[in-house]
Formats: sequence, C-alpha cells, structure tokens
Amino acid sequence: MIKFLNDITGGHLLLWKVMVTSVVFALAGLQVAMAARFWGRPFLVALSPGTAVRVHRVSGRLALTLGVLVALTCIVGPAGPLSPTRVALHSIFGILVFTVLAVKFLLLKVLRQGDSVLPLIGSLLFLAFGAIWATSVADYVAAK
Amino acid sequence: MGGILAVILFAGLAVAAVVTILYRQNQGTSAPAKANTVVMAQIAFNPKTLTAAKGSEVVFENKDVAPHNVTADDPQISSGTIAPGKTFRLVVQQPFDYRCTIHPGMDAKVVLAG
Repeated sequence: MIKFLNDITGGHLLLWKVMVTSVVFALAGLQVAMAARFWGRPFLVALSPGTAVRVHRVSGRLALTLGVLVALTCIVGPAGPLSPTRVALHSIFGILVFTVLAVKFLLLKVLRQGDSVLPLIGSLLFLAFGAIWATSVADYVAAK
Repeated sequence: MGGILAVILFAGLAVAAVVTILYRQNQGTSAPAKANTVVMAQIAFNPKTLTAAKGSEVVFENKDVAPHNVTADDPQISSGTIAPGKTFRLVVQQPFDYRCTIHPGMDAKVVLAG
C-alpha cells in the first residue's frame, strides 16, 4: 500500500498530505468564523446568519471529506510509529479529531441536544486540526 | 440516518487508527528477505543490526512514505536525502553506527561478519 501511495504521488506523499491538511485547516478556520457569525458573535466576516449557515455546511462537508481521505491514507499507509515525538503527536491529534467529530454528530444529529457545548467542540476541533497541520508541516520541514 | 452513519464513520476511523497503531507496534519488524539490505519503513531501519562481510556492498532501501538519510560519524557517511522508493549503496570497510538525521531515534548499526 505504501508503494502504491508513493507511486501515485510521485514519491511526494508527505507534500500532498501537508497541502491537503493545510486546506482542511483553513476550512476549519472558516468553520469557526461562520459558526461565530450565526451564534451571534461575528468576527472577520460580514455575512448574513443564513449565508453563514450555508457556507458552514458546505465548507464543513468539504473539510470532512478531505480529512477522511487523508486519515484513510494515513491508516492504510504509514500509521504505526510512535517515534519521533511529532509523529506520535500527529497520531494522537488525528484520533482526537475523529473522536470529537463522532461526539459532535452524536449530540447534534442523533441525540439532538448539547447545543451549548457546540462552540466548545468546534473550537476544540479547530485546535486539533491546527495541531495535525503543525505536526505534518514539522515532519515535512524536517525532511527538507 | 445520516447522523448515525457519520457517528459510525468518525468513531470507526478513530478506533481503526488506534487498532492499527497497536497492531503495528506489536507486530515488530521482520528481517528483509534480501541479504546485505537495510529497509527503511515505519520510520525505522530494519534490521536494527546488519551483519555484513568486510568489502561487501550494503543497500539501503527507502520503502517508507517519508524521506530518510543514512548518516554516520565514523566513518563519515552522508547519503543525502533518500526519497521514498530510492536506494543508497555503500561498501562496508568497518563496523559503524548510523542514524537518520531527519527522524530522531531512528538509528541502527552495521557489524562485520566473522
């Protein structure tokens, strides 16, 4: 599988991961900004709450689709090493993101409660995506 | 319905990641099939100790997703960056410890046979 991933990325799997993870992190930032808008705490954006909801939904789906693709690539490919520390942290934050996402969707879509903790969950997701991005970039930069 | 699927997908990914890491940690690394060959995979050199005859050629194969290098102080060895899918070769004249300077903790050694 690793050979296949290396082949389709021309031996630049790390670079691809960093690029896609950067897009996901940027979208996560957009998610927070949009959520702040329709939670009545607007910053950076001057959209109507209705538009903010639609942008939040679309960018969220795009971010999660890309995030799931990268995660699957990691799991079937390089996942496993816990050394050096930045690699272990990358795995921990990756597991954290999907655990928090599962909790978020459980609260929001299945149990239909917990609205008050959504800002906390959204902020936690943004920070976790940031940590994943930083640890990806750290590995790429270290290889340069 | 979509919500339940999303919960299952995300929880499944988290569990799959944990299981994969635990499995690969416990799996260990088996020695490469080819003699005088060191494989770089899962951010480790395998085997950790390679026994080679003096004057023989050792091949370092990067089968990882990350670039690595082979660096030693005595004798001075600097492979430069070995991209995924690439190899580095050297003729062994003496035993030596080596490491990948990109990944702290990724180290191994070559000892002479006999």
